[in-house]
Amino acid sequence: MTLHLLGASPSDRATFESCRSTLTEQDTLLLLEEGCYWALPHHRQELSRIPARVVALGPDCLARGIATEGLKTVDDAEFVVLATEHARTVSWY
Amino acid sequence: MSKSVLVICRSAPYRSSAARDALDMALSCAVFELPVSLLLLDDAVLQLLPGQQSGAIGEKSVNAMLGALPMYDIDRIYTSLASLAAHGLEAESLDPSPEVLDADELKQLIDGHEVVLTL
Amino acid sequence: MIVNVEGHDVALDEEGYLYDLEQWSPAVATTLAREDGLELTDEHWEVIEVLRRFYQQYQLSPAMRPLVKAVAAELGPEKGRSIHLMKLFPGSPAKVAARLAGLPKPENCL
Repeated sequence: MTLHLLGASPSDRATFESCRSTLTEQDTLLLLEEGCYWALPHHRQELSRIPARVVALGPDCLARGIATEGLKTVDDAEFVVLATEHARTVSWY
Repeated sequence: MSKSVLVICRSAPYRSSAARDALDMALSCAVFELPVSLLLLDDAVLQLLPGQQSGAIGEKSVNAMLGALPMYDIDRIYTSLASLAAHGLEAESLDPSPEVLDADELKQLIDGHEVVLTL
Repeated sequence: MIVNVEGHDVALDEEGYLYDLEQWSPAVATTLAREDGLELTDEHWEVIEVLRRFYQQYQLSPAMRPLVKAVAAELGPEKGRSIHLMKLFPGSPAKVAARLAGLPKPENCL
């Protein structure tokens, strides 16, 4: 039960691959900062193939003009709750 | 019962201070007697290349410092099969030689630690 | 901070550690030790030598535990004990001995 924070953009392939290789079905992947660009339509299909539940940080998507239809978003308070619900947090930048 | 700490580093040795910071963090945890492991992923596996003469660029050798980990009772350095493959490296040719994990073992490693710090 | 050792100026940082590790010599160690109220004996010197080799190999100033390990490995288990090092370098042996050996202050030290 791990919360993974993906903050690297899709152009950073190695970060995504390393992150993906550690995801389990019990985990949650939270997109934030440049990681939000994974929510762009072009990248959605790849995102849909990962085993973990995927959510995005709403304000970070909003700031970058990224539409989040079809993707669950969380605000800062919900981010904190997510962190407390998981046993540990791992950052991927 | 002290918390087990996994320090993950993903940076090549002299790219930024990340490699040194990860090492410092691991050493500090060890001094406070926390059980600590170090996971070198992606470019961080390049920290293990032997023969680093970092004096040539006026830096201390990250590789030499990694050699001190056993003196701090940090006996576990891990990397992944994928990280080795990405650079065409084999564990036996690296120093210190890491324990190599496949994808499942990587998940188990993370799952087995209470705190994960990434640099 | 500057100390003069045998006619040479040696620069020390605020905490009394050498700025330039190349400036170290046994005479520097003796001078710094006197500031600490220590007369260096053979037992001090052998620990100083262990520290200098540790730094050469690992490029790190050891904290207490690795220092004890290194001394035990090189000088035997009798000497590789905190109590022995405490007697030689009272206070915080890892810090005091690193200073005398011309090493930087140990960073990961309690």
